Formats: sequence, C-alpha cells, structure tokens
Amino acid sequence: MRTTRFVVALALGCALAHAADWPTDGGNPQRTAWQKDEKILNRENVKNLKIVWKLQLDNQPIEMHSLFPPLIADKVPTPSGPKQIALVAGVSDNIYAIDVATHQILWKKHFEYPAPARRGRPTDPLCPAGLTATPVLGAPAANGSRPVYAMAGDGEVHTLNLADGEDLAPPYQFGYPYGKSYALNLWNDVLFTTTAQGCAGNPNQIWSVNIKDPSHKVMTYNPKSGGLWGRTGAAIDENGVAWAPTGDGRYDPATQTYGNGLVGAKVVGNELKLQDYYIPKNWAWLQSRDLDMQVTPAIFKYKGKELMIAASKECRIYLLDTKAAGGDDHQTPLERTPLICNEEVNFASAGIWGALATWEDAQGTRWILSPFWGPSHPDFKVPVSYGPVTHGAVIAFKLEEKNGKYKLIPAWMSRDMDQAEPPVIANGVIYAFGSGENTEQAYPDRGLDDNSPERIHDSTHAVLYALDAETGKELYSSGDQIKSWVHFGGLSVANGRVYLGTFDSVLYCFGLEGK
Amino acid sequence: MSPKSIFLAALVSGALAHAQFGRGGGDWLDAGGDAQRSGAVRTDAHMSVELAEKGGITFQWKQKLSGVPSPSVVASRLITYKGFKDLMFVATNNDIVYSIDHPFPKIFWEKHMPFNSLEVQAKTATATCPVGMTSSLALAAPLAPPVPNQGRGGRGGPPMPGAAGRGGMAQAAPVPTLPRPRRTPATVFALSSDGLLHVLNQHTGEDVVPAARFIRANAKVRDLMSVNNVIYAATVDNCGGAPNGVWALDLADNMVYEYKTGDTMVVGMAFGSDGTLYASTDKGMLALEQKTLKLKMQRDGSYVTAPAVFKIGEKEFIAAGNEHGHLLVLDAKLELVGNAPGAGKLSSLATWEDADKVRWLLAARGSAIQAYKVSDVGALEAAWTSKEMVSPAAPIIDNGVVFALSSGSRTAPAVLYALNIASGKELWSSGKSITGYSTAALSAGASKIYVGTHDGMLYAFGYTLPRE
Repeated sequence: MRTTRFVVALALGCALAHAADWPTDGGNPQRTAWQKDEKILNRENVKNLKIVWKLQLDNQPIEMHSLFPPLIADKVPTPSGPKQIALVAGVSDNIYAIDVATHQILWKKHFEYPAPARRGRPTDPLCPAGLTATPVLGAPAANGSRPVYAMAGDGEVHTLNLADGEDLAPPYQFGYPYGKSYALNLWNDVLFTTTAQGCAGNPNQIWSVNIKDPSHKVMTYNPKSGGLWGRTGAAIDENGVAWAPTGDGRYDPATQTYGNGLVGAKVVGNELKLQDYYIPKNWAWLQSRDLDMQVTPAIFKYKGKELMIAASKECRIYLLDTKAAGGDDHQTPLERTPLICNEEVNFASAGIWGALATWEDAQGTRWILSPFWGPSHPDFKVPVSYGPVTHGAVIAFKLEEKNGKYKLIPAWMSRDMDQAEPPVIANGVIYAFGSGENTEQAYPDRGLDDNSPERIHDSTHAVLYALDAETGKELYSSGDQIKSWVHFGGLSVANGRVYLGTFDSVLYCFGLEGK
Repeated sequence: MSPKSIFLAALVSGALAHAQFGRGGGDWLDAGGDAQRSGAVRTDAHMSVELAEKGGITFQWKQKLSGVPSPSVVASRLITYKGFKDLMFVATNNDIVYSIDHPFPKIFWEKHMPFNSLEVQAKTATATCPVGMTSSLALAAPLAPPVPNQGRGGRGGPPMPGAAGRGGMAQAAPVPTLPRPRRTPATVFALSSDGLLHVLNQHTGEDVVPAARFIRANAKVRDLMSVNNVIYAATVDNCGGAPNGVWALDLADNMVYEYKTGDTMVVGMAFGSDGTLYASTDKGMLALEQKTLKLKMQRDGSYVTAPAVFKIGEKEFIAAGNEHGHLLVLDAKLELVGNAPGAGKLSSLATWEDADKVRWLLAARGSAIQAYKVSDVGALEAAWTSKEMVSPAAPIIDNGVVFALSSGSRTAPAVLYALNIASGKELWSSGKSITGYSTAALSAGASKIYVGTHDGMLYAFGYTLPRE
C-alpha cells in the first residue's frame, strides 16, 4: 500500500512538472547540453535524487549499441490529454514513446525493411546494423502535433506524430543503409547528420535534406577525411553552418582534403557547401597516432561573438570563432588548452570523446565543460580537484577575454569516473556519468582486435553523478543502482528528471520523490 | 599444432605480412637495414635533400642506456595496447633490449635477458672478444625489396584536385602520407650472450615462445637477420670457443644449420632475391643456400666489407670491397663485372637507386665516404669523395640524403654529417651534439638517424612530426 501511494505521488509529481523540453541530442542545435529551463532540480535538493522509475524495453542490442539519449517534450496533446513524453530510439530500429508520468509506453514503432545488401562485420563495435541516429523533434504545429524525425537503419527518414506514432508524411531516403549515421540535427527545416567509419561502404561526410522539399534532395559535403564521428553529430551555428569534426586523414587544402579538423558546411541553394574549417597545426601528429578530432563542438554566444569549442582524443580543447574558425590560416584558434589527459598518447581509452557542454552562470561567467577518458595529464594543473583521476573525469574551464585575447582558465576537475561521458548542465548542477564501458580496442598479445563480445564481457555498470557546477563537488552518486553500462547513450534532463538508457535496454528515470 | 605453435605461427605470419608492405614507413630491419644490406631507407615521408636544405634535420634527443648500444631496428605505426607507437628497438652489451617510442623518446619497454647457459659467462673482454651481447637486433626482412611508394595515407581519402581555401596554402608542397598502421604484433629477434635466440613481442617485450638454443655462449656475433622464418648469424674470432661460421635457426622447428669456416672470418652477409645468402670472408665470397647453408659456389678473394646486394633492371649484383682497396661488383654467378681500385682501406658499403634510376654505391674508404655510380652492367664510375672523417662508419642513404658518421676517438667526439648524394655537398652536421665516440654502425628509420656511443648514450637526429 505504501508502495502504491509512493508511485502515485511520483506520478503526480511528474504531471506537475514545469515545461522544459530536450528536443535533440545535446539539448539544442548548438549542442551546448545546457538545459536552461530546469526549475525543479537544484544544488540543494539534487542529493535526494532517486530512480523514479526504470523501464525494460524490448529493444535488442546490436554490437555494443542499445538505447540512444531520450528526447523529452512536455504538454504534448494526446487523445488522453496533454502529456510529457520521453521518446527513446533503440538500435534495433525501435522508437518508444513513454508517458513520463506513468512510465507506460504510449506507442512503439518498429521500422521494417529488406535487409540491406551490405552491413558491418559481425562483432565489429563500430558498425552496428540498425538505427544509429538519435531522432530529433520538430517544433509543434499549429494544431499542437509535434513531428518526430527518425532515420531507420535503412537510411529512410520517418516523420511521426509524437502523440501517437502515426506517420505524418511518407518516409523518404536520406542516409545510407546500415551506414551508421550520427544524431540528427534540425535547423530551419533542414535535417543534418554525419557519418563515420565507412560502415557498409558509406562515405564519411555531412548530410542534409530539407524536410519541406518535396523531392527530398539529399545534399552532402565530403571533407575526404576519416569519419565525422562526433557523438551528437553536427552542431549548427546562427548562420546555419553545420560544424562537424573530421577523423584521421590528411590536410591538403590544395585538394580540399580536411582530415583531423573541423569543417563547417551550409546549405546554399540546393547544395551543401563548405563554408570554413579549422585544422590544428599538429594535424599530422594527430593522424599518425590516431588522435583524431572526433568531438561534436558546442556553439555559444560570448560578448557579442559566436564562439565554438572543439576537442580531440589528443585531449585538448580549442576555442574558435564561428565566423573565422582558425583565423586567416585556418590553423590558429582563439585559444587552445594544454594537454588535459592522455599522456600515454593512446587512441582507445584516453582523450576527449563524444561531445562538450557549455553554460553561463548568473554572473555572466561562461563555463566550458568536457569529459575525458583515462588519467589526467600530470602536467595539467587545476585549482580544485577531488582525488586522483585514473579512469576519466569532467573538467571545467572559465572563459575570459581581455583586449581580444581569450583564455580558458581551468576551474575544477571532478572526481574519478569510469570513462566519463558528455555532461549536461541544468540549474547549477552538472549531470555526468561514468559509462562503465570497456573501451579497449587493442591487446598486448593481439594488437588491434576491437570486438564487441570481449568488450561487452568486460564492461561493468554506469554511475550517474550530480556535481556542483561551480565547484565540481559531488552532490549525488547513483552508486551501483544502474545495473548495466552505456555505449553511445547519453543524458537528457528536463522537468526534474534525468534520463539514461543502458546496454540492457533499460531506461532509467532519476528524479525527486514527490516532485 | 600446439597453442603456442599456433600463436608463434600467427606472429611470424604477421611479421611476414608486415614485411611485405612495412617498408613504407622507412623501417630498419637489421644491422644493414634490410636483407640485402643496402644501408638505405627506401621510403621516407619526410627526409629529403630539400628538408635538409631548409634546416629540417635537427638533433632530436639523447637517451642514456645501460650498456653500449648496438645498431637499432625500427618499426613504425604499430597499434599497441597503449596506442599507436613508433618504436625503435636497441640492444646493449648488458643483454638488455629497449623499446623506445622514438618521437619523444619514451622507453616503452625494457627486457633484461639473464644468462642461461651451462657455459660460464665471460666477464673479461679481450682485444678481439668483447663480453655480453654482441649482436644487434633483427626484424623480419623480405627477400624482395618492396618498390618505393608513398604509403597508404592513413585513414584519409585519396587526394583529389580542387581549389584551395582561405589562407594562401594552395601552393603548399605535396602532403606526405603515412605508412599503413600495423594491427598485429610482430616480433623482435634478439640473440643474447648466452647464445639463446629470443623471439620478443614488439608490443610488450615478452618472449612469445621459449628462447631457443642457437649458438654457443659468449660468441662474437655479426649480422643477425631474419628471412622467411629463419634466423641467420655469423660468428667470428672463436670467441667463447664458438666455431667461426654461418648459422641458421629454423623457427618452425628450432633446427640449427651451420656452415663452419674454420680459421676463415666472415665479414658480413646479405641475401640475393632468390634466397642465396652471400657471405664475404677474409678468404672469399661464399654463396650459400638459404636455411641449409649448403655451399652453392664461392669466389676467392680477401674481402673486408660486408656484401651489398642490389638489382639493376632484372640483373642482380653483389658489391664488396677487398683488402687491396678494390671495390668489386660481382654478378649472381660471382663473376667480376665491376672494379674500382682506390687508395684507402674499404670498410663498409651502402647502395640506393634514385628517382632517375641511377644506382649509387657508397663506400667508407680510408677517412672519407666515396660515391660511385653503377652502370647497367655493373661498371663503377667514381662520383665524389666526402670531406675527411675519423674512422667513418657505414654510411646510410635516406631518400637522397647520405648520413655519414665520423666515429671519433677517445679525444674527438663523433660527428654526424648529412650529404647530398648527387654531389656529396654537406647539408648539415651534428656539430658538437655528440659528446662521445662511436663504435657501432649507424641505423635509421622513420626520418631519424641513430648514433650509439661508447658511454651508453643513444642519439637521434633527423625529423619528427611537430607534436604541438
């Protein structure tokens, strides 16, 4: 009886939640991972975080992939009234819409299609044969219906009604079958994605399509690089330029080859064209050691300028101006940090992976956040830290500018986290997690042997942390409550809830009792 | 097949596979650089006369080792469990093998090989018999030298024509490409002073199979080489009571083959493309069958340099110097086809074919390096002679740049010079960077030249990708 009352109270709490959305991977098209509208969770109460509910989904993991970061929309009109919906994509071509209040599945969509002729090698973690792009929510229509754009494993985009899962439009081809597309982004009616690892023969490039174009012409830009594998795909700046990191490859402007850098492409007419790029001066070193730039940048406004942060496995953060990335020679950032980690120069279990985050506090201080894997660099100094970091952590910088000179000032480094993943900032609290994933790709006796079965076997479990955004102090840890680990998943935060999906296809919803 | 045999077979096949394309990174596989003992780096992404002229050759680092280093071997772009590494391997007379990530340098691993023999370990060196490990290391070397190319370009796509971006870099020189990374660990072969052949995992330094008895302990060993899964070495000066001769160890079954030379001393060895092992001695040139070491033919003469084998078109030639100062070129039947007499004792050779198909033959002669061009039929034409040096070591040719070491003496430290192979013009020198004298040959790889000195210091010169 007590349990029932508890559940009802929690459900009521969900229904009373304030209106905040998480409509896309990374929170917004700029991929800042900053939930500006959070009002419930704060520094004082986050210590009381609990698993409000968890839901076992019937999604089948493929290789190491399972659930992608949930999208959240509040006040979605449904036949049974307005609801807050968490929309979760699973790698086995599944889309689940979950009523946050009742944690019931409102609808489920499974995309069926003939098996593509080509697919990734079985046991290869890089190329799962299925849906790999986090969907994106469109803006609500006049009648309140809200479209979901989801790309199935065969590369077709489905436009679904968030309320009931029904098709709002016929599907159309966008991506490459089993081509491992990354998180969709939507800006001014243009859908973007990126591809990497050449899965099933897919070229590594930026892709775009205008959702209002009846012909759905697919527009691409290919930097002739390694994969564009920023975890949350491309970030979009105020001019509609899609910025994506490029993997290992050469830099040769004479042949328009832009490996180991960051490229920005924009739809011009009905083509996707390169607008600008940044290539670190030590790109050849990065290439030689497989330290590619592979982190989705985050874009933000600062003192009237639009700036961008990018990062690499080398374990540096770069500050760039979206209007002139890298300056006149494309190789001079506004600021570049020293090595934060990866003294070992390892391509697999060290460096910065995934995506970044940024926010501005009430005093106008701009904060830059980055996760990293492996031990912190012994030469990297930070004023506030919480014990030795050996498996990974979140690092925070403050951005300062004087007379046009920009500085990233180290502020704090979090406690050790087992493979720290991209954080989310909401209402003065940083949410971060150690994925518990085994990230080894090479072994002493075999060299390179990146295989899913071994990594799955050696993975442990994820741990969610809440940190004070100004000091990095741990405010909450989920301990061993999460039973599985995470690969290519991620956090979503909205309306007093923190979501994380794990390899075993369980979606966890953390929140406060009664709120 | 036992699990260990399967593992060894996999490692060896991996090593052979690497050998087929591995030279793209400018690897250095044994004391002579390759099985042909060419003394040349055939492909190098960065080293060039232009680099030297622009001041791109610099002192890179020095590393103190325990013991006097022998010439190193180099293998680049290895995907190890600690990331991509560019490793050089070097042994010292203290029976230690070091693996060094050479752009930094960082010691990646270190292997001590304890003396394991019923023989008593020699502790006192004599004028002819040093103590400790006397052999340099070896990596698997192909019989047929690969055709030079520009590598595979990493994961980047192939270059395509197009316009330049902002910043005026359209006129930049062609961007060098990287050799293909190697996914599986190959092996390093080390012959310790106890006569055991160690097969070490390049990534860890661990013995991948139990060390095999190869030659007698305390022997003085020259020219450790690995070709087609067989290890070769020569022993000289009867050190430790070891008979002089040529030795082969078949890694498939650990069978040892021998060709004893009695009081004849082997100077050096090199392979022909058909597998013939040429061994120059102080009493003649031997042509031996690979592995079995059966004598195929021989030619009289008193040779003072190791042979260098090279091809011009389809014809194969063997060059070696004799005690009378004659630089000789023999054909595959050991018939004399070229002869360049000269003043000064010959001590070592190197050979390289440039982009215009000119075959160069370099010799350390007396106190200088002398360069010759070789005609299609093996005739020699003197080209240039370098400045005077102190006991010049075997030269190395890296993509048109000749590296010559003035080995120095107790009163004069070693100096490394870079010369233009086309003219002999000095492009660069190490100046006073080296503070000791050298008793070992040069080695090279991945745009660097390595010099070991008597005081246990290993120096690296050349070019490294900017890390910052």
